[in-house]
Amino acid sequence: MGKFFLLAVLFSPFCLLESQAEDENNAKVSGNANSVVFKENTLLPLLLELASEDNEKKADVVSRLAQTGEPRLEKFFELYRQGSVYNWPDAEGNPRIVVNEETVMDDDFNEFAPLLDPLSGQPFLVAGKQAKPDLLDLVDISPDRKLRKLVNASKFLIRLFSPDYETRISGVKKTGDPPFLEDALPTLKEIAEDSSEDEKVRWTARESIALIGFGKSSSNLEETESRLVFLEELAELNSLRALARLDSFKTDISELAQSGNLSVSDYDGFSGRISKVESSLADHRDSVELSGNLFRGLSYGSVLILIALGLAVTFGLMGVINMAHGELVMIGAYATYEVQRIFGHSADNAEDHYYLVALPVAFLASALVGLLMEQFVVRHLYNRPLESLLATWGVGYILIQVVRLRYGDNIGVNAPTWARGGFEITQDVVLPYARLYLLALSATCVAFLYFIIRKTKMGVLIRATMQNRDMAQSLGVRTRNVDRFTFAIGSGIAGVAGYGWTIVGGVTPDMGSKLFIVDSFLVVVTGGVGELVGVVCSGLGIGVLTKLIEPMEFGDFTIGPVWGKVILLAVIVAFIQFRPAGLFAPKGRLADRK
Amino acid sequence: MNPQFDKLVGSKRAFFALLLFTFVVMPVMYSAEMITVGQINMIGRYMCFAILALGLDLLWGYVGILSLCQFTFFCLGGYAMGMHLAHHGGPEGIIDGNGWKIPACLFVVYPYDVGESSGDALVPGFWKPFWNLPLTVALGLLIPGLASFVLGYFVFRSRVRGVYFAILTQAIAVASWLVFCRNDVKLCGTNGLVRFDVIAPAESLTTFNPVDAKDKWIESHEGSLDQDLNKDGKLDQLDYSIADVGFSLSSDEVRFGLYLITAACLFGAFLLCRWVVNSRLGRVLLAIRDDESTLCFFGYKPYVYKIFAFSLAGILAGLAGMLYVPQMQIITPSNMEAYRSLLVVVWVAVGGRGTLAGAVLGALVVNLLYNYFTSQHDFYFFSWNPDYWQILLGLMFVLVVLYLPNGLIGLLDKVRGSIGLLLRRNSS
Amino acid sequence: MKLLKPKHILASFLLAALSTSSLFGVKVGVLHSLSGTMAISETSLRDVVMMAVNEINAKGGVLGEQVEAVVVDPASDWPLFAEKAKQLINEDKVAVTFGCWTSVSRKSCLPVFEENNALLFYPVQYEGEEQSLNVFYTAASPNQQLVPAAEYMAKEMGCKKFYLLGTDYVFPRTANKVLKAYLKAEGVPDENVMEEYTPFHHQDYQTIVSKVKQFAASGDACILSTINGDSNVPFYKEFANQGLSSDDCPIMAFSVSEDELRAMDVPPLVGHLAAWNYFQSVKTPSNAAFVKSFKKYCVQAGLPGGAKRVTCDPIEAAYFGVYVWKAAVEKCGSFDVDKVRKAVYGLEFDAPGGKKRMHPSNQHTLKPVYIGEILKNGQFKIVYSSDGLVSPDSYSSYLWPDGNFPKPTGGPNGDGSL
Repeated sequence: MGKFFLLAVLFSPFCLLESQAEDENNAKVSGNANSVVFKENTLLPLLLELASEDNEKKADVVSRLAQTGEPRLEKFFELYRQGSVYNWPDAEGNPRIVVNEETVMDDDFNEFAPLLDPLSGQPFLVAGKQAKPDLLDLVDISPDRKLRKLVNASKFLIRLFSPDYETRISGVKKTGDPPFLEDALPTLKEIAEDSSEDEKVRWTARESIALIGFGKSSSNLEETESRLVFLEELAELNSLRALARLDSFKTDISELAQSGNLSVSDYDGFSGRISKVESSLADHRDSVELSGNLFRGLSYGSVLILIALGLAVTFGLMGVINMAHGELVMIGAYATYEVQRIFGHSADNAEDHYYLVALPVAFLASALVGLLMEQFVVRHLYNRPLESLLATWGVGYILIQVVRLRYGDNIGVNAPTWARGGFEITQDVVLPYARLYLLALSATCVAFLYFIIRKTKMGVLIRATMQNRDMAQSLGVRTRNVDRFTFAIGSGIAGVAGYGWTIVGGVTPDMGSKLFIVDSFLVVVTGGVGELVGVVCSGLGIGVLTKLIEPMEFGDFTIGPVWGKVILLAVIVAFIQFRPAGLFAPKGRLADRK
Repeated sequence: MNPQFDKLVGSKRAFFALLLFTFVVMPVMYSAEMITVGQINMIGRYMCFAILALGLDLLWGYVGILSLCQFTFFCLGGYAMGMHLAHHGGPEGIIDGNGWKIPACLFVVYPYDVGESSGDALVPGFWKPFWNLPLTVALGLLIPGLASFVLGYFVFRSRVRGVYFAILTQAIAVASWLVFCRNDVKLCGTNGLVRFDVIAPAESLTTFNPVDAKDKWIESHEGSLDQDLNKDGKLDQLDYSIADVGFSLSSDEVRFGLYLITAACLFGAFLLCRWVVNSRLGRVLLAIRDDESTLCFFGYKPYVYKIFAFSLAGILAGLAGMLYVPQMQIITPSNMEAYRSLLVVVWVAVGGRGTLAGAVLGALVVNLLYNYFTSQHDFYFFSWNPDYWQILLGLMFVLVVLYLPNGLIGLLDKVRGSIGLLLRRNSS
Repeated sequence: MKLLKPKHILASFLLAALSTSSLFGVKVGVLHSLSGTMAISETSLRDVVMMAVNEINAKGGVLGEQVEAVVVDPASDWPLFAEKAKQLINEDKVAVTFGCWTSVSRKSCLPVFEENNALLFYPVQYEGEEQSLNVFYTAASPNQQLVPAAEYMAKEMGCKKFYLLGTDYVFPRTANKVLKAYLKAEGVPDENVMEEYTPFHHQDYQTIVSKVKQFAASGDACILSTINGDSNVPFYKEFANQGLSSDDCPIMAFSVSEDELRAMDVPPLVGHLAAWNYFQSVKTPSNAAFVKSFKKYCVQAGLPGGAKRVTCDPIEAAYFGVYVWKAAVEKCGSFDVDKVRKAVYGLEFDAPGGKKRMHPSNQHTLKPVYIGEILKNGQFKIVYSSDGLVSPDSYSSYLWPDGNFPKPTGGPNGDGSL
C-alpha cells in the first residue's frame, strides 16, 4: 500500500525546507506504523500534546499524526496551521483541544466562540450543548513558522488519500509544486497507475512525479541529465507548469556551466534540447491562449449584448435616449439581491434555487420601474429625443441615491454554488460556469426579443407604431399601450442583465452610470440603431476584438486593459466614419429619423 | 429662430445692469466684506463653467449638434495652464539631469522602470513649452481648438450626425479620460496636477532658463560643490525662489484679479457668441439645425459651418479650463469623466437651450444649487441631509424638462409676461 | 422683474449658507463623500465619526463643550472637497475636520487647510510622500503595511514570484515602487516580478487572471494586490472561477478589508490574505466593546446593513482620530490649532486595536502591523502580528535612500516651520 510507503519516508522533506539539524530529531519515523489502527482514542491523546510549550515535542506529534494518513486530519492541519486550534483548559486545568474558526455574536453583539471537535468537525459538546465560551478564555496554541511549514506539507500529503475528488486532485497537484514533496512519490506513482482512478487525477499525478524529478537541484552532469529527461516527459504531457519553471532551470545550468561543472559541449547539447521542449510547450500555451482569448471575447461580448439589449429596444426602437438604462440594470441586480435575502441564501447556507426565482423577479422589477418612468416622464418626450436624455438622466440620479439610502453600497450578492469553478474543455482551457451561463442567458434574451418582435401580434404592432405612429394610430392601434409595453420589455431585459451580472461582478448603486451606460450606447450605435442583429454582431465583435487586443505584447510593452480600450474606441470612431449609421444601417423611412 | 432669443439679456438695460453687478456691485460687496474672497473665487469658477456652457449652447442650441466631450476640451486648456503652474510651484526643487526643475506632482508619481531610481526622472519634453505663460495661453487655446477642428473635420465630413455624433464624442471623452488617468503618459495620473504656488506672467524663457540657473548656481557655489551634489552628480536644490517671479495664487488680490479676468472673458465670450449668432453666419447655423438637407440644396456646405462652430466651442472650452485651474488649484482627469460633459448639457437645458443668457444662467444656478445642497442645513422645521442632494437635483432636471422646455429663461420670460399683463390690467 | 436677476438668486443662496451656523458648542467638520463613486467606502467613516461624536457628547463633551458635527457631502468630486473644506473652515468655523479617503481628494483640499492653518485628520492608508503640518495621518504609511506583507509572502509562504497588480493611481504606483525596491534588495530577479495596472472600475479580469494563471503555474507565485474598490469583486470572482485558489497562488491585498468583503462571495476567497494595522478580529477587550457599540449604533441609527456592518482598519483609524483630537484638546486646554498640534505630537492613546502613539514630529501614527487570512464568514484570522508598534515613514526610505527628503509644508507660518 502506497500509504505505508509514504509513511516510511514521510519526514525527510523537511530537511529540505529547514536545513537545521534539529529537524532530523523531530522527524523520527517508525517504519512499522502499519499495524496501528487509528481511532479517536489513539489520535486524541496525541492532539493533547499540541498544548505543550515544547516545540520539538509538537513537531514530533505532527509527524506522528501525519503518519496515520487519516483523511480527517487534512482539515485539522489546515485549521492548526491557520491558528484556529485552541486549548480550552477545563476547570481542573487539564488541556482540551478544540477548534474555533469563526466567532458569533448574540443579539447584544457580545462575541462568543462556538467550539468544534478537532477531528469530527462536529460541535464540541459540553453537557449536551455546543460550548460557546468567550474568545478570551481560549489559549492560543498556534504553531511557529517552522512548525507551520511542516503542518502545511503534511496537509497536502494527507490530501492524497482524501475520498473527495477536489481535495485529492489538489493534493496531487500541490505535492508537485515547490518545495517538492518527494515523500509523496510512491503514492503518486500508485495513483498514476491505478486504473480505477479518475483520468485527470492520474494525469496530474504523472505531471507531479515528473515535476518533482525536474525540480531537484543539480550539481553535476548526471543529475542535470536526469532532470532533462523529466523535462522531456513533461513536454510530452504539455505541462504548462513545467513551462513556468523553465527559466529557473536555464539559470541553473548556465550557472553550472560557468562554474565549470558542465562542459561547453554538454551545455550546448542541453540548451538545444531545452529550446526544443520550450518551443513545443510554448506552442501548446499559444493554442491554449488563443482558444482562451476567443472564449473570453465571446463571454465579454455576451455581457455587452446583455446590457445593450434593453437599450436596443428603448433607444433603438423607440428613439428614447434612455440615460437611466444603467440604473434599470442596477434595479435588476438589487432585485436579485432582495430575492437572495428572502430565500436566506448566503455563503454558508446554499439555497441555489433563489437564482431561478430571481430571473422573473428582476425582469418584473425593472419592467415596473420602466413602466412608471414611461408613464410619468418618457411619455411626454417621444418627439423630443434629446430632452429625453436629460429627463432620464435625472431619473437615474434619483434611482441611484434612493437605492443607496435604502441598501447602502456594500451588499454581497452570493452567486449560486453551481456557478463557482469551471469546466475544463480540453487540457488547460477552463470555461467558468458563470461565463457559460451568461452566454446562454444572453442568447436566450436575444431569442426572446426576436420572438416577440417578429413572431407575435404585439411585435407587429410595435413595429408598426415605431415606423409610422400616425398611420398606426389611424388604423386603430392603441399606440399608448404599445409604447408602454415596448418600454417595459426593454426595461425588463435591462433588469435581466443586472440579474446575470451578479454572478460575475459587483453590485453598487452607481454601477449603471459607471460601468454600463457608455458601453451599451456604443454597442447599439455601432450595430446600427433599430437592428437587433446589429447589437448581436457589434457586441460580439467588440468583445472578441477587445480580448484579442488586450493580451498583445510588443517587446516590453503590453497593451493591457487601458490601451486596449483606447484602441478599441479609436477603432469604433474610425468605423463610424465609414459607416455613419452603424453596421446595419436602417433603411427607408427609419433612416430619416433623427 | 428661438422666439425668446436673448430677450432678457439682449435688452441693453438688463445687459448693462449685469455688467454693473459683476464689475461694481460684487467688488464693492467684497471690499465692504459682505462676501468673502472664497465666495468671489467660487463665482469666478462657476463663470468658467458658464463660458463652457456658452460654447455648448452655440453647438446644441443653434447648430443642433450635441457634443458630449466639451469637458475634454476644457481639460486640454486646464492641463496646459496646470503644467505652467506646476512648473512654478512646489517647494521641492528637485532638478533632473538636464537641469530642469521637476514639478512636485510629477515627481511623486513618476513612472520609473524596474531598476530606475528617482535620480533617473526627467522632465518630459512636452512639459517644457508650458514654462512660459504667454506660450501656455497660446497653446491652451490652440490645442483644444486644433483637437476639435481635427475631430470635427473627420466627423462632419463623413456626415456623422445627431445621436451618432453624441455617442461618438462620448466615446472620445471616455478614451481621453482613460489616457489621462494613466501614470505612464506623465501627466500625473488620477492625482492630476497639484502644488501650484504662483502664476508667473513676467517669466519667460528669455528671462529665466533653468539650465542657466543651474550653471549660475554651480558658479556661485564653487568650492562647496561636492557636498551639494547628490550621489548621481545632480543638484538636490535648485536656487529658484518662487517669490521673485510671480503672483502668489493664495493671495486675496490675485484671486480677486482672476475673478475679474474671468468675468471679463465671460462677457467677451458672450458678446462673441452673440455676434456670431446674429450675423449671417448665425442664420446658416440655425438653418443647419432646422433643415440640413434643404440647406445643401442651396449650395451650402454645412460641414464647414459645423466645423467652425465646433472649433469655436472647443476654443471657448479651452479658455474656460485655463481660467478655471488657477482658481481651483487642482486639475485631475476626473474633470473629463463622461458624465461631466453630460452635466454641461444639463446646465444649458436648465438655463434655456438656444438662448445664450440661458446657458450662463443655467451653469451658475445648477452649480450653486449643487454646492448649496451638498451641505447640511438646519431650517426651522426640518434639517437638510446632504445625502439627499442627488434626489433633489435629479428631480429638478426632470421637472425642468417636463414643465419648462425653455428652461429658466423661458420661465423668467413667462413671469415677466404675466406681470406685465397684470400691471396693464390694473392700470386700465 | 429686477428682483429676479440671477445674481440676486445667487446672493440669497450665499446669505442662506452664511446664516446656518449656530452659536454654541464646538464644531467639527466631517468631509466624506456620501454620494458618487467613493460613497461605497466613505459613508462608513462618516457613520463612525458620528458615533464617536455621540459618545463624547454623552460623556460631557470636550472641555465641557458639546461637540457638533457638521456633515457635508463632497460627492466624490475632487474640487468639491476643496470647496467644502473652505466652507467648513471659513463659514462653519470648525475646530478640526475629519475626512477624505482618496489621495487626490486630500491633495485637492490640502492647500485650503494650509492657507487657513486648519487641521485635518486623515484616516486611510496611503502612499506617503507627504508631510503637511495641517494633517494628521492616522492610518498606515507604506512601511507600516507593504514591506511586512511582502516579507511574509517571501519568507513565510515561500513565494519566489510576485505579480504586482493594482488599480492605476498613485497609491498602487508608489506602493509597487516600494515593493519592487524591497524585492530587489531581497535578491528576487526582475523576471520574477510582474507589474500590471487596470483603470478604476475595471470589471473584466478574464485576461489578467489567465495571465496570472500562467505566471503562477510554477506553484511558488503570489499576487500583491493594490486593486481598489469595486474592481475587487469581479477580480476575486474571476480568480476563483478560473479554478485558482489560495493554495495555487495566494493574494495579498492592501485595499481589501472586512467592509469590502461584505460585498463579496467569500467561500472561494478563503485563505487569501490582507495586511492592515487593525482587524475586527483583534482580540482586546476594548476592541470587543468598540465592535459592539459600532454595530449597536448602526442598528439604532437605522443605517443600511444594520447589524451586519463590520469594523475595519479605516473605520478604526477614523474613530480613534476623533479621540486623539479630544485627548490633545484636553491636554492643552484649548481648541487652538497650533496648541492642539503640539499636544498631538507623541500623544499615547488607547485605540480599539490596542495602545498606539502619535509620532513626535512627522504627523503620522505608530501602529502594529497585522496580516490576516480570509475566513468563510468574511472576517480575518490574524496569522502574523508585528512585535510592538512600527514607526511610520512620511517619505519612504526606499525612495529617498539618502534620507534627505523635503521639508514639511503648511503650519502656522505657512512654510513648514513650527
